[in-house]
Amino acid sequence: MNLLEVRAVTKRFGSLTALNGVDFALAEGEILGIIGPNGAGKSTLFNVIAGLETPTAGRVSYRGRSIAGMTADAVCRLGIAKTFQIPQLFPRLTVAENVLVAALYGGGHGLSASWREAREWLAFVGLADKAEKPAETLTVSERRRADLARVLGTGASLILLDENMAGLNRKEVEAAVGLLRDVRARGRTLVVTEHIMRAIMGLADRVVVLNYGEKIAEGRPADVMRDAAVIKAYLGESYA
Amino acid sequence: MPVTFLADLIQTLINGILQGGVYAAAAVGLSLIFGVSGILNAAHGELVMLGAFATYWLATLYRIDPLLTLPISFGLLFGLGYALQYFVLNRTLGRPLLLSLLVTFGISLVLLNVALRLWSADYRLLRTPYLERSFVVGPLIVPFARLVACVLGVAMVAALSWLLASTRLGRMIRATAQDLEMARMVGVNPRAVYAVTFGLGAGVSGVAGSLVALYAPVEPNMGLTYTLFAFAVVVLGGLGYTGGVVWGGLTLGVAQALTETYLEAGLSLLVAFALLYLILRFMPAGIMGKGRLE
Amino acid sequence: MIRWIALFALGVLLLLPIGVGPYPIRVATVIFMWAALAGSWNLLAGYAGAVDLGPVVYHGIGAFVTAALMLKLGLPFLVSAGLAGVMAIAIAYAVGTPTLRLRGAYFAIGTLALAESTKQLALAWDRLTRIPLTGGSAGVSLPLSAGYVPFYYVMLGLMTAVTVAALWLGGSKFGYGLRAIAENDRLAEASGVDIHCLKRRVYVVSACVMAMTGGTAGYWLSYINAADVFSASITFQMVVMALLGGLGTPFGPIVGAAFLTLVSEFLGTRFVYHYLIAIGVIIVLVSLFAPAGLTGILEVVRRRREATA
Repeated sequence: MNLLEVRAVTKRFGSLTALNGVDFALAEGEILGIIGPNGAGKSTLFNVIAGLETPTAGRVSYRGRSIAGMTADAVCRLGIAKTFQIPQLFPRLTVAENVLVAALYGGGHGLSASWREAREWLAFVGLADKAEKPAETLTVSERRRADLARVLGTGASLILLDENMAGLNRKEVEAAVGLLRDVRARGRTLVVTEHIMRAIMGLADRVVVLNYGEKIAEGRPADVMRDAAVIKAYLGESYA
Repeated sequence: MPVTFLADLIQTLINGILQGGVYAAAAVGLSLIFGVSGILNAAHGELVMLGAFATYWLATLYRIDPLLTLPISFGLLFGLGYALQYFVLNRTLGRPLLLSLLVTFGISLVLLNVALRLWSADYRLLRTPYLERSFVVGPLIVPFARLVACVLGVAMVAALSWLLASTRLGRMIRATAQDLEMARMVGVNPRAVYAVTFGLGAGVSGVAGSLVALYAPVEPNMGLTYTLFAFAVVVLGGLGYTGGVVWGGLTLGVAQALTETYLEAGLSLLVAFALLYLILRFMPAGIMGKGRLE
Repeated sequence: MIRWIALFALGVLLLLPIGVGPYPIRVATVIFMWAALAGSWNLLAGYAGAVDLGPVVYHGIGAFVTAALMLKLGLPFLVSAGLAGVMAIAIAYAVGTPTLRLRGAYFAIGTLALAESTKQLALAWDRLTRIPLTGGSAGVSLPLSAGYVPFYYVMLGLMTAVTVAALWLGGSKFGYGLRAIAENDRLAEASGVDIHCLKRRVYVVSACVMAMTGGTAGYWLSYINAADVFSASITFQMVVMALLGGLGTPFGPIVGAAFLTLVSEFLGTRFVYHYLIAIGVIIVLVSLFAPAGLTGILEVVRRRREATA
């Protein structure tokens, strides 16, 4: 059984169609990349999969069960968690407490187990030294790592990363890619959306390309990059 | 039988509309301030009350025609509002809602109790002979004072809308409301804009109070009721959508009038608040659906 | 450390009526009552960040249910107050479920609307339903109570219960859930916190305490009146005391209640308006410049002393 199935998902906001009949599936342990020009609907797709938005049509199934009608917190406890494009945090709680909340409620652990989890994941993303500082003191790139730690703390099997590497330099991107491969090695499934092509190429097993809310290509990274429709979407007709 | 039923119904609707116009005027200030600075002004009713007293005292002590006191009431309350925003409320910007709610609540306590200290809790009714007539059309009665208050109230809402839509000041205010950063970048001084906005909101609330003084007794404790009614009108019309206060006001006024005629007078407040709660719960964007959602 | 001091203070308070006269005991009872009320409000507003402007509704419900059980069914006071608390739990659950879906300003206005509606309903109840319950604007008289000491202990008990609850919230799983909701409720939800359920639990517990406090206060005064027990001024005082003492802290409400009660005792009834004007100014100043309240100031002083030690 596929871990995740997105079937004919459509999402309309009034007269704007953000997603139109998007359809793909994901096996456990895969890393799927979602790419597309700005405004293609990537973030909306993530919100739908994580239960933060309800699709206008279509279905999202996790381990064979539809998530329709589930609240966002129920979806998180089920095993799907998402990072935020603009990293969100609990500003006046410490960084450790930020991850603690995720472990307590997303992961459903007891207090001492959750503290252990929180410190472990903070060490994993390299923020152990910031554990006791208020989260609002973190820099932007630290916030992204804290967001990742939080998502890992929820114990989610399916992790959605919404441009988690934005603004990182070359070395930082490499480190992030290594980190995510590590996450996959620990048994998680990842869906990653990025504008940094190098990252997607190096990381993803498969790639889905969105444009204007529709899936225009799917396949291995190298194949997708040569696809005419994809080139047209990014660079225009003359390059196709 | 059916004729008297119809007559009663039309009279009720007339009463409701007349009251609704005043409610709209009494609420537009709250809507403007919330829409622009995000401040939920718990002292709103006290501003209305002060306007009402301004008219009462000016007319009683100095024998000024009540209608002529309206601009004075506006001026006084504008000044008070500007000062409040500039010196006190500007410090609450960008901070959580509770803060501005608490600070304006503190201000309301001060204003209310200063009023009580100065004027006691006695009811005072302004007598203006030429306003005490009524138009009688068949079985229908339209009290002149209420008609004047309603018409002037709606006119004031229209004037404020025009100011926001068509004048330079209005554009600055709307720009600041929509995108603070951009407004700053084109040279708008937000502290001054917020102060002017609060001044305008206070001024129109004061005039609304003055209009109430034309036909109803005034008393320092009347503020709380007007704060609650204004909340109801603003929510009904759509939070942050200034034009909606007319719809909100009419709905509230008519709902209350219907309650007074067909149920009983004591329930009109209950109906108002029950309506408010239901709209908040089921149509948070207001009747016209144009309100801002949290 | 603080807990030992608190425990010691509790011991002193338990023994106080033995050596102290009626007037200070009465003042202490008033302080405990407000501390219980402010403390309950603090649970939802200070810990979960949800500003309820209509908590007085449960105070009033508690008062009338207690009175009705005592007068109509002849039940003893403690049983009646306890049952009033249970009834408040049921009502709060039913009311809280839709109302807590509102957020921010909408929740504040909605709860205020609820409280005012209930006040109007209570005033009109006897007339409308022909069930004599609230006495309309005339109110309801209760049998005169024996002595003032029992009320001291009941209020002390309520205040202690609320404070213990707040202390427990400090490091517990539930407490972290609430603070997450207060800091960023959408993020809390996305991290697996059932925000609606947690808020409702606090709302219901608050309602229960407020109802029992209302029932006790009504019996103590031997008279309740819809306009008084549902009055918005009770909400205002609760809010001010919690804020002044320190929102989101376990002892803040007690400090705030003590401070304001003593100030108003000192000013007496001659200076009511001045007292309220002063309160208004204090609220503005504390909100703007010392949002952590009096306990916050004490914290700063304590930390400075520790740093220089």
